[in-house]
Amino acid sequence: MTAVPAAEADPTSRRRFACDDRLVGRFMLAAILWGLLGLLAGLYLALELVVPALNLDLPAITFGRLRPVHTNVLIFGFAGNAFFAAVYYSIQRLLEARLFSGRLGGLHFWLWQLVIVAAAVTLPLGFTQGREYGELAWPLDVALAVAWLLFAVNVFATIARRRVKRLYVALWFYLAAIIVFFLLYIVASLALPFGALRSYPLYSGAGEAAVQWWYGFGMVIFLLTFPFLGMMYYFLPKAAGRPLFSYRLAIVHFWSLVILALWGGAHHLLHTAAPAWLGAIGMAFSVMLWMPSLAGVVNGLLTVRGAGERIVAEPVLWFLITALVFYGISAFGGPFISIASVNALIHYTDWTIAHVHLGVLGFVGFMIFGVLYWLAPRVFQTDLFSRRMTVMHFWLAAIGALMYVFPIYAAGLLEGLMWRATDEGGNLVHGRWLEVTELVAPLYWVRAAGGAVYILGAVLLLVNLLLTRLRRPASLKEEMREAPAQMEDDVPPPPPEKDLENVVGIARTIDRIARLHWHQLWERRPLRMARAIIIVIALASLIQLLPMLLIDSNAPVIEAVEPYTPLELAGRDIYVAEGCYSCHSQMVRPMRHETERFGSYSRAGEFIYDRPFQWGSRRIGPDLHRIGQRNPSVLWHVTHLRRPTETSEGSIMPAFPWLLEEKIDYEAMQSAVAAMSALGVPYDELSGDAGEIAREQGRAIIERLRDEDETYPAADLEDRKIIALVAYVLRLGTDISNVEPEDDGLLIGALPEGGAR
Amino acid sequence: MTVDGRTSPESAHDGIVQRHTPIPRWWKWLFALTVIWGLLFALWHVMGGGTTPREAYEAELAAHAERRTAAYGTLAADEATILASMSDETAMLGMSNLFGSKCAPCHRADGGGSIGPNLTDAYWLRVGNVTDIAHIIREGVAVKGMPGWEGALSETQITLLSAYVAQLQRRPASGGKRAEGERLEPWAPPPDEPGEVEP
Repeated sequence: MTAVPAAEADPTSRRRFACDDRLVGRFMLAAILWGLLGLLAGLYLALELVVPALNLDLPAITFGRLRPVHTNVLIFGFAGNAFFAAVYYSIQRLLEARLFSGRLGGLHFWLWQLVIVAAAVTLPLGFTQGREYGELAWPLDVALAVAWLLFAVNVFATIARRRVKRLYVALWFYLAAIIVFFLLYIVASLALPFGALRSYPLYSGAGEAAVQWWYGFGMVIFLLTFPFLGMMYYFLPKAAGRPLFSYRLAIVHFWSLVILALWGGAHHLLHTAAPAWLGAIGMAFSVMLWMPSLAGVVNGLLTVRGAGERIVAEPVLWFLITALVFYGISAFGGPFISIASVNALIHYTDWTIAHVHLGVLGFVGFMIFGVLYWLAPRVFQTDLFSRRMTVMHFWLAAIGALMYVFPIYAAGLLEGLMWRATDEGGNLVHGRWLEVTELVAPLYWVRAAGGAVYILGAVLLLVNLLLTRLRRPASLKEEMREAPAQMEDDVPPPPPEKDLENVVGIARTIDRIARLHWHQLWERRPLRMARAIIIVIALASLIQLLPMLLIDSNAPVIEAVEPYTPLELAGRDIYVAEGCYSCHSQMVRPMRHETERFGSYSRAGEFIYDRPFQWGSRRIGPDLHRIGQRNPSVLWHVTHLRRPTETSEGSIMPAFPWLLEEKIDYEAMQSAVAAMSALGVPYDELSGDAGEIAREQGRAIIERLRDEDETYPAADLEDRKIIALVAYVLRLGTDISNVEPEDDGLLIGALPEGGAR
Repeated sequence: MTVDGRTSPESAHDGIVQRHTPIPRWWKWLFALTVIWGLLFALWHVMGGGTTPREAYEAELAAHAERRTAAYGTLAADEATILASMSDETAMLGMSNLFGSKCAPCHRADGGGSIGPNLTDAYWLRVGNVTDIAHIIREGVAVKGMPGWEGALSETQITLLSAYVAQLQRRPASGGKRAEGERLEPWAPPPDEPGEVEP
């Protein structure tokens, strides 16, 4: 398999080697197939929001279970596979070396697809860890990490046998993505398994929230942005036949992102029960990320400037350039919505959905499409089947993305404004939640139509690629390349020291740094670069996460808060499995319109037994943290969960009739309680068997149901899952009732020790 | 700033040439500004600057309380006040909003009832007098799953909301829940305000 021995007698002698592109074609097809599946899941979700009956009373395709399929399949199946295809193709050219091992790559390919297949099966069955983009059950987490490691080994080993000493900028981005995503995923997925597919996370409540959004935002940067910036730096100059605009800007682009990115995630926690200092750091660094994000756009667009005729002729460039434009808009909007006052308005609304989809449909999607069209003729060694189809795909994708994004931005703004509107007496103008839902429904229809148009384009891509592949020559030839065994070292000697006689030492240092000679040396030392990346991200991570996980004052203890009973815990697990957090937050922010609507604001201390935390990020339905105070009727919850429209006309919540049929697994409760116990939840005083205690509480709830309505066939519900879920819902937010705001034990946004306020 | 004029050899990076164009000045300045601002802001905040969310919230609550007093005054839930308030159109408009958020989940937005009883017919459960309505709003009916709103709602709000509930029977809901409880005569207007009688 090895084409060229690692050591060469004469470093200048030219050696031929063959590129191994078999993997590239496979990853390309996997990307587009998973991409289509994920997009179709998304379209179905969009339709369920306007026609809730579309869940057909089937658990597996109900919104809360289908949504993680949509996100995970697209993140790992579409973006992930496309990243691998681009890396396996471009590193062989950029390093002038054959891929280290095709067999290892094949193992990586199949293990990765296996993880996604398993995810697409287990998530609809309700096996989820209940954290956004971290839903996969723990064995899948392990397999995904192993597959990623196989990939990393292959890339690093190929780097080790490179003939080009200096790594090109695309490779820095690949390298950072490979290292940082792996670390993020491992740290965020740490959990205690207590069954083949079940686990509870190591962190809880506010600490877990900090870890989650450190991971969530970091994942968006290092898995959904860095790979595609790397692709941009390789495929854009290649396709345009233009030199890269600025090497200097690329250096600043890369390092400013690496250094700042992981600090920004905490803006997701602004105004929540997480301490205020954390949100403030998130906001400050998100604003600092403004220019670094735009650096990629500047560098890309100025690279293609002057490639006029080529741009007109080459649809690949249309995709790549449009991707950059979408990225620019998205990166402009990001810092804007992390400003606290803007965040207060648009958090939990559709604005977030629009922002994310602008990034993924516009930037990630277009970048992948462009790269796939560029790769197809090269990998399949024949002309692209149809240029006209490519052109049509471009327009469908562009129109589809805009049709998706604009109405949803509008919906988000409407929701934000209507939720907070009060009349002259201070009453909520839209106190009835569904008023707002009904108003934005037409916008949801436009969104679904836009999604459908976008998918139509992706179908064209699939057909085009398959037909191109069909036309490939009977035997594909490996591309032969020739390179000196050791390419000429092109690091110039350091520029002479400037005549800086009359300045202080620091100016001299700054001058030396600004001349960037050191970076040219670094580029020859990938391990040093990797070490530097790890150091800066570790610094950012530890400073934020350690105080959250170790210092108690970040989640001040509230005496009244007690662990969930076994039945409530089982109900909570159902809440998580059904994906309720997709549409319901559990975080009342300290704003009058929220406390008026939902009840007193949430305190960090109330969540210490929440594993996983369920603060949520979107309110398609109302916040549920105080639902137990606000609506303690068993009859209401049972009726509502069975068929939401029976209590709430116009509701777009799916029906959950199976919860009234499936039985509670009392036997499994003991192991769940034991796992929680092992994580430090004080269940020691629990007298007797968890299942027995749960049965007793279940009977009490059935009694309450009988009291509320003697005609209801309450006996039918004995031992049914709905009873556990209702037990949990009734408990929610009731540990502290109507605590006065002046109660000093319940500081929100408390500072770590020493931070006087 | 010196620009390293050299470019990589044609062949080095799969033919991609890297120009060493200086970073655009506007980019550098904006980046420097955001970094300086960001670091100062973070430092200022961690040192205790600015209002905490809690302080902002309390200010918001105080401003709101003033607004409510200005709009509705300070009322007590006695029979005369509730009966008189039934005809206060501004207050009733506001209460329809409040009813929408607190009561509609169980009593329907038009009061026709679903889980909770129909409030638009002449039949009442646990109520013999308008002050009983206020009592139920305040304490709830635990056994029937109705929460009490004392604390969450001010006394003025409870008074006005009782009046709103009392006047709902002027517009019987179509398709409302079956009648439950005892039939009561329509609420009498307060004796000292005969002008308020509905036709």
